[in-house]
Amino acid sequence: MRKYYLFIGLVLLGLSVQAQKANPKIQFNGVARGDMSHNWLSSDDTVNADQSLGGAALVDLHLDIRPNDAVRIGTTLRVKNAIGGFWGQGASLELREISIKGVAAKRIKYRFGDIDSRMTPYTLWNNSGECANNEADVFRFIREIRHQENFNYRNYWRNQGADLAWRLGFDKGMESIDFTTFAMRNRSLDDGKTPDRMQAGGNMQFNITNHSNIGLNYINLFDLPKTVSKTYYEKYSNGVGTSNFNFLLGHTTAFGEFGFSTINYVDTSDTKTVNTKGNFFELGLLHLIRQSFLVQASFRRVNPNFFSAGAQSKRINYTSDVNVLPVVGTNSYNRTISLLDLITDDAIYNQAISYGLMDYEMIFNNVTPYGKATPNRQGFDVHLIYVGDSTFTTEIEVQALQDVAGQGSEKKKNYLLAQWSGDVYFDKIFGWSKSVSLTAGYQFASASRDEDRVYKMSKDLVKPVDLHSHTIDLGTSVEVLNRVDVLLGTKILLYKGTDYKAILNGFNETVKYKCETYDGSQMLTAAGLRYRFNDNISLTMQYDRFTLKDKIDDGNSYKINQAFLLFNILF
Amino acid sequence: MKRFLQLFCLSLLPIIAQAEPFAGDGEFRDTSATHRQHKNLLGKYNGKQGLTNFGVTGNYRGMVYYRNMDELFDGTYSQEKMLLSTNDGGRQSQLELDVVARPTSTTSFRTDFYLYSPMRGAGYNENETGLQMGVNLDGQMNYDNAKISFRLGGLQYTRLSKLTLWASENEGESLFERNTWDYFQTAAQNYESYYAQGTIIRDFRWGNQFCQGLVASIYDLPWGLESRVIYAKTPNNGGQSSYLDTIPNISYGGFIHKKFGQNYFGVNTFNSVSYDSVVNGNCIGYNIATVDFSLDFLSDFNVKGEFGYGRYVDGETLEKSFGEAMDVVFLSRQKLIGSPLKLHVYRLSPSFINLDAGFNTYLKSTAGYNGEGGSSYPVGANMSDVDYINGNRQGLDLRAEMNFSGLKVNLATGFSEEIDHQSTSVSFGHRINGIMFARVFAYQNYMGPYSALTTNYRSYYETNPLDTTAITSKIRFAVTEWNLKYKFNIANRPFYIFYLGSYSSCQDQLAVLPVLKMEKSYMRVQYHELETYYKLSEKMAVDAYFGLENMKGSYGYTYAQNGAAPVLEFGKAIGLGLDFVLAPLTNLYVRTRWFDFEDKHNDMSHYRGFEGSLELKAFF
Amino acid sequence: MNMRRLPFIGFIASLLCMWSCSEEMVGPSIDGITIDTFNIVNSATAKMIDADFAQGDSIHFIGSWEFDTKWTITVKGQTSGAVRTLTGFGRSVDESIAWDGSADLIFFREGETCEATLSFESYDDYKVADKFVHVVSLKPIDGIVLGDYDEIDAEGWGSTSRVVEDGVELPATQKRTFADEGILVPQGDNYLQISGYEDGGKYYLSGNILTISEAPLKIDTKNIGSNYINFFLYGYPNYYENSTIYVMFSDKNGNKIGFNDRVKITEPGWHGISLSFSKLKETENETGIPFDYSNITEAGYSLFSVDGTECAAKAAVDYFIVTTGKPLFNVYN
Repeated sequence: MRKYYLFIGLVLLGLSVQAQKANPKIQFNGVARGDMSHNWLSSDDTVNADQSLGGAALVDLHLDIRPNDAVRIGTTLRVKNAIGGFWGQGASLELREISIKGVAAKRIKYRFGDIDSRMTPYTLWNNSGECANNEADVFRFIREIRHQENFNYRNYWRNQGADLAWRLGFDKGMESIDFTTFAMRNRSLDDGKTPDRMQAGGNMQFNITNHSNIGLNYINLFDLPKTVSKTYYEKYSNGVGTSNFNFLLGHTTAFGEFGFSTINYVDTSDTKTVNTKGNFFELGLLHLIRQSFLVQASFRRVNPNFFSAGAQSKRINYTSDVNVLPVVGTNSYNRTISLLDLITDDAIYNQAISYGLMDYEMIFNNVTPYGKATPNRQGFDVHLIYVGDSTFTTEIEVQALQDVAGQGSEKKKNYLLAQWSGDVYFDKIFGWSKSVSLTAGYQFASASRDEDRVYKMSKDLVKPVDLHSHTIDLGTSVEVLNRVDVLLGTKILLYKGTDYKAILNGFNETVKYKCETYDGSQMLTAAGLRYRFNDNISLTMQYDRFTLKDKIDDGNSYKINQAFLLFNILF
Repeated sequence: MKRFLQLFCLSLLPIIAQAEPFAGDGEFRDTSATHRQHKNLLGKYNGKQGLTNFGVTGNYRGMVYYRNMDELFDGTYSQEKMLLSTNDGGRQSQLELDVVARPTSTTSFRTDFYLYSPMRGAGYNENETGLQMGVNLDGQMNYDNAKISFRLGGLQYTRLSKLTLWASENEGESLFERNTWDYFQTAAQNYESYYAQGTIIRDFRWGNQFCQGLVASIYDLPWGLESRVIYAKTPNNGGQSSYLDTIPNISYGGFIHKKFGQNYFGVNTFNSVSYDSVVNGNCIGYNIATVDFSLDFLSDFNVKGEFGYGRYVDGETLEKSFGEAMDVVFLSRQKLIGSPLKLHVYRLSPSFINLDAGFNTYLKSTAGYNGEGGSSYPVGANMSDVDYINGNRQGLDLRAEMNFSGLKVNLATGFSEEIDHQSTSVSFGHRINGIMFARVFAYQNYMGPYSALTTNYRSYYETNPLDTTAITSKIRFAVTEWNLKYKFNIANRPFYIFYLGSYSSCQDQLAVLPVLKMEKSYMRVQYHELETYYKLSEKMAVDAYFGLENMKGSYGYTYAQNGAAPVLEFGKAIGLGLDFVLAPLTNLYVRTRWFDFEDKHNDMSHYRGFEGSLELKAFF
Repeated sequence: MNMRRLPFIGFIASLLCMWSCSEEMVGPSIDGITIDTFNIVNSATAKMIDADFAQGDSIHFIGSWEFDTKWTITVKGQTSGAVRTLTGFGRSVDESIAWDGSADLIFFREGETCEATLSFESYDDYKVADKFVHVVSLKPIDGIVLGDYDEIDAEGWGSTSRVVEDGVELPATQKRTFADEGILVPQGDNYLQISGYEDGGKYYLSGNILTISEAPLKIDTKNIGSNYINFFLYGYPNYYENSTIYVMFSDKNGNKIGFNDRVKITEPGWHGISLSFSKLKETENETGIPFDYSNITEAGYSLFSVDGTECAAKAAVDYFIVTTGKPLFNVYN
């Protein structure tokens, strides 16, 4: 036993010495980026102001400060100046983030400040943006900049608060239990009328073996009424509690999650006016075949009243105004968010957890606009991934879903969401020295519902639901000279049909259904030339052309051209 | 039980070994085991090695500036007062930090900060911080047949050619005044340099225009070619806050040079384009194309020149105008007079419009061109120094440098005439007290008791209307400058005397030398500046300055604004200074100046006062 | 059966079971019409809006809904039961849609509270405004009131044959209130119930003398057709088909004019009757002098059966008023 303790002590000492060498007290990392872009409408638009030009140069300097081995302070300072602002005009010095994290008493991990957190797809999860299914490199690296700007790192939400984590280990029965608890502030207007809003919760994960675990999760978005004067006391809360598990059975993993949600609201006269309860479950199996194929099949059912602010908030705010050339078309209307904006516009991205279901664009994805936690869905999800070798990868996912309860009708909508993606690396296949790759992605989304009822007045048939969309991504990257790549890509969205969008009040109750009919297409094509200084530094010149065709009203059609230069240094 | 406790204690070891970096912060296991490799060029930098090639330099400039304006015009101006400040009206900064980082050997970025405390007693609330030059990103791409070096961001300084993108280089300058951009000098180092080489240490901005955007230089090309490409905004693309306006207003251009030895031949282009206010607007602005060259011949001689053609589209009328330009300098290094002799010939059509070039574009009025260039620049017939050439002119000037036993003489004389008689006013600078006056009234147009004065950056000029019924033909100009430099020792320490003087006139007849008589001229302007510098010790130099200027307008031809009499102005200044090296890279500068100005024909045009500054500058 | 498969079978079975669990429809029906807004706009904050209609006040509405359709705004008096309907077509109403205190039939009462409702012809959806109207005063009706059974009584009379209900003989005429019969009172607090039993004599069954307080009543003969006698007439459910009203006027010479066709009651409930004086014909003239419209000294009405068939007849009347220029109700033909 003595020798055993001695061995552990020596190992820890060795790790400690190694760490001291590797990590200086302050480490600088960050991003420096300069861009200039020119946007213009096509020459046949003679109605709208049709040009814009802008750009900026910035440095995000991230400091990783380690005053000692148990504490790390991280902060990012941004220095930015706009192109066209001379001698400091249009310049800004901002604090992008600041946080501290460490280990207390060698047992408890803590973090405080700007922190990234996530739990499960039904509790706290930042779903990926729409139309990003394996898009071409020429678009992907531009979208990544949006993610950086908005702290969208994988499926984490950036919040401001604190969290703690610790673990209990066991000798028998199970390996360990992981605990995490957190509290974040969601809103604080300090206007005396609107109470502060917090989000807090925790997770307990029972690690039975390395591959099997059971988790208990709870998260609640709630108001603090006492932060306002008594006249304005009101309290909203949205609580979600779930339990999830993973069990390895031979080569197969069984997984699942189930839980409930509540929305409660007490108004300023202390009357409980809202009390909504929902539930969901998901059960599935995952199997690895011959180390190459990953197959996953699951069934889920999400009740129409299941609301989880942390999982259903969207990365894009579809009520935002677009930044570039907002007024277009012979109808001179304010254009809505398009494929171009999803990739290039920072202003439409959302960083906050929203207490109500956010608006979404039906033509992008009317099947799972809120990810897996989309309420009022039930059905099967089958996912197949090929991860065999480095020459190509492919995966396909099909979700066949149906309403749990009819929406404004006794009949239920049927949904189908099919996504396929594939990458081919020709250089690895043929042994070329220069990299050549092809990426492709396809998404089919549809909602359908026959209808046999008629409108009371006109006696016309109520329009059936038949909205479907195809999103095609195709791109290639060809290294023509040493470190110089030609990037080509296209993104096509075709959509047609009718669907009904629920218009909700602040408690996600449907007050009406708005019938929307679409028939059109969007196409974004790009060609770029990129010089890679290394894997993290590149200079890109790119030309994009975006076309939106509205077959129902051609006055809404428009074309935007965009040329830009981007120099990005990640260090 | 004991065993359980022992193992339980073991399990309470740190969750993560103290020395390991944190990983998966707050990450919880997904309920679904599906995953995708997150392929991207720009992943999060957590876990990456830190930046090592990173430096901060800068300077500290602590200043106390005092000014007492005893008299100012008609006594109603609020500036007629005493002022105590921590800056002299120039760039407001006490601490300037330049941050340069080099992530790789071929890429770097830099930015600057300034920090300034006005020390008005209100505490830190009034302290300021910001950027001056801003963020610049540099990159270099190296190939066997080309090297490309580029900078993206701003501010940055660059140039193409004199008729495309350039900044005026005014050779004659007083050394007495302090500049915010002055680099460290040991005591009298700059004066020695000026005496010995004819230049003062100037920084990278000299002759370069500043812009924001992309500047790429391509060199080491085959066949001796080199090139530069610019796509950037200058201050004439919508002003210094043009980022607020999304309508494109941008400049682009470049050059290609073919080098052969020290000589070259090149083509240049520069275009400043914007759109008028109409929806689906019309393209307006100016487009310039030139050819330039530099050729040595007969071993001693060199000819360097540029010929160009420009098109200008007016934003209001969409009228197009075209104009030609020529600028050629012949140099004899020694053969003709035993010392350098330069002959400069030029012609700038009034329609050759380029606000970013190395000459003063002719301005008919303060309206400028498409809203740019009007304010703060001399308007009409501008009487300027030899090196400061103006548009709507053709002329020539001669400059020679001679050395007479240590007395270095730089003489220049030039004459020119309007190409088209368009001027209805004459403008001239007030050099002697220009920097001081520009501090008092920053960037103002047509101010003063006779609405004749316009202040610019560190200068101001006066505009007097011409009697257009009396002046009906081309206006001619003549100017002579002489710059004398002498050095001798006192007590084995160098003593420098510098004299800079000039005399210019404008009149109806072409004259090789300036006209001295009133009846033959419309306006005569002369400046005299005498400076002495004595290096008292290795660490100390004392400075003295005397300046005098005189402007004389002629009756019947010119008058001060608002119907006043033609000017008869005298401007004087006496200054004393001290340069002291306190420590390595740390200097103390003291400057004092008594100044006086009056117009004997127009009572209200006068001012008098004193200014002084104490400047502590340290570099790091 | 391989017992190992049992959990999987149970798993699939529970999935299928849960799949088939159905929940009730979410949200309103998609074939309805969704109302975005509807309200009274006279005041942004007050819940009860005072309307002084006599001083020219009017109540304005605002509303919008999903699509163009025929809409109705119904203003209802909570005390009087009076109703005013405003209709139109479209998908919104703006402030130009206004109510001036007038009623479709039964009059509103001063001091009562009124409620407004937006509804649609072919949809069940409706919305009640969350503001109410308090009627401070009503516009006076321009005319000569001959009897309202509140301020102006009239002398009633009747035949000997009485109607018997529940063993009780009804008097020929009796003033009634809302409390008596649960019938809304068109104007004021009282109306007059008139009844009688037709025994085959085809005689008047009951009647009433109207009070001409401004003696004599003058009718301009140049525009005789634009003078109207207006009154409320109620048809009792079991009696309306048997009951008719005859209206007559006498001049100073004793000559009489009357509505010989008699007013029939088409359905139960209150009706507004406007009879043009041009429809009143001479019924009695013993003097040979034409009826003197400028000297009308007497007016009255009688209850008759329809055709003399033996039956019980009953009706109610209220608010006899002579108007000039325009009728109060739709003109009876």
